[in-house]
Amino acid sequence: MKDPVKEWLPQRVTQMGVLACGLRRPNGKLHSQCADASCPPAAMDNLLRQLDGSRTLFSGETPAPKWVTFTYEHGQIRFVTRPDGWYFAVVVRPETEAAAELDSLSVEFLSLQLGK
Amino acid sequence: MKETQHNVLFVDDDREFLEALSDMFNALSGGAWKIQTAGSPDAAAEILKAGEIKLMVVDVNMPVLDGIQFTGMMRKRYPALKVALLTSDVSDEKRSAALEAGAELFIEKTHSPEGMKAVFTMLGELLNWAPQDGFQGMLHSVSLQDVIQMECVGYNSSVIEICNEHVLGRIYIEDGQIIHAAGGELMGERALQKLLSLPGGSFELVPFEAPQQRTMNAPWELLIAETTRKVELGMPRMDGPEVDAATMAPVTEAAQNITETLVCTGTGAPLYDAGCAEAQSRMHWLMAVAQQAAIFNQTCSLGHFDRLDIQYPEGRAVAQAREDRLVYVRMMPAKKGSAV
Repeated sequence: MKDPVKEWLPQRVTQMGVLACGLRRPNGKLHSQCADASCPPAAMDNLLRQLDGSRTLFSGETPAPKWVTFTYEHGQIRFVTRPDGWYFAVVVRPETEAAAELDSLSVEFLSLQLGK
Repeated sequence: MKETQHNVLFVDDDREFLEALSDMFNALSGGAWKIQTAGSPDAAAEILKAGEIKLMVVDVNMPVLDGIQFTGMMRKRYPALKVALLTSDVSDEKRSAALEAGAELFIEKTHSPEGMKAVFTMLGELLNWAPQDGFQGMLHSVSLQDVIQMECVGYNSSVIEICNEHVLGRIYIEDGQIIHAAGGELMGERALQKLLSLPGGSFELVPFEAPQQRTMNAPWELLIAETTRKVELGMPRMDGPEVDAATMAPVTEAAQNITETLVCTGTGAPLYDAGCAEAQSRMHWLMAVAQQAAIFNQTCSLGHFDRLDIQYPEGRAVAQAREDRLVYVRMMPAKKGSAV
């Protein structure tokens, strides 16, 4: 089984337009990778925690969202949750390759074989 | 008789700088300035509540809430307040942001006596500036939609002329009702939608003159809400070259079923509601989205929040929470073979 932290996550952050990305394991452990000084790993960790807290916004939604995207003037934050407790978050610049491929990236994350 | 004192508020987290500035400007003004100081936006907001401050001078770089953000907030609350921003970073980007937030002056921060005298002179000019006879004003960050709403709410008659590099359009308002719009080759609601979806440009309010025809009869609130809904749904943005009317496919042709729409003012007053079972709770949810977006933005500074897109296993929703408008639209994919 792939270790997503060692294999999948580092590949994601190299894509043109990605500022940072991170994973949250079901046990709460965070793994962040950054490609731009404007969003360092500590900020990404913080963002993952905040995203975790933001889930209450969608707790009443039936069915639960597959993913949500907060779009800002200078970037987008995509947050994808899996039923097994893994979360993925990525921050991208708008109108970049990474922004255009957010949906396919999210689908890829949802289909990954992941452990605990 | 002693001349009226000018109440001036300085806001900076650097206490030493505040004291130096206060002492020097007290001396330079000969007591004509009544200077108050605040070490944080929070403290400044308390002082402003008294309504006596004529000029506020704010440091751009402050923790938690920077001077530009604070200026934007206070400008809306106190339109008559004059604001100058002080900063060590006089980049064009900061200058633009400061002026956009509503500051009248953007001044480089200086610690030298000569520099401070120059700043004092500039602030003095700003304090003494007065409008000419009659009214003269400036609306900061006003949108075309705001102007339309103001005209309609006031039962006014006017024509709004809109132009950008690609499009020239007109919206006709008579006795508070939108009666006609024309933009490029389009007319009526589609022209209104096109004009409201423009990402930039300029507009001017001119005296009313009757259009050659009347193309809209619905209440203005409904027209604005419906147009907003269509724009939010991602109808093509008309910022490119002029398009043929045929490219403006009506929303009914999109392969989506709109199941819920809610448009409110920024304060939560409903403007348009279709299929929204619990409008009040949806409105509170939109406000919570705005708060959450602001929290994220404190961690990763990404500029103004635009919207939240939610992708469901089937269908999607778009939420927009701006100061002047709350919008929620939920869409489901159209069933195969059904009339959309």
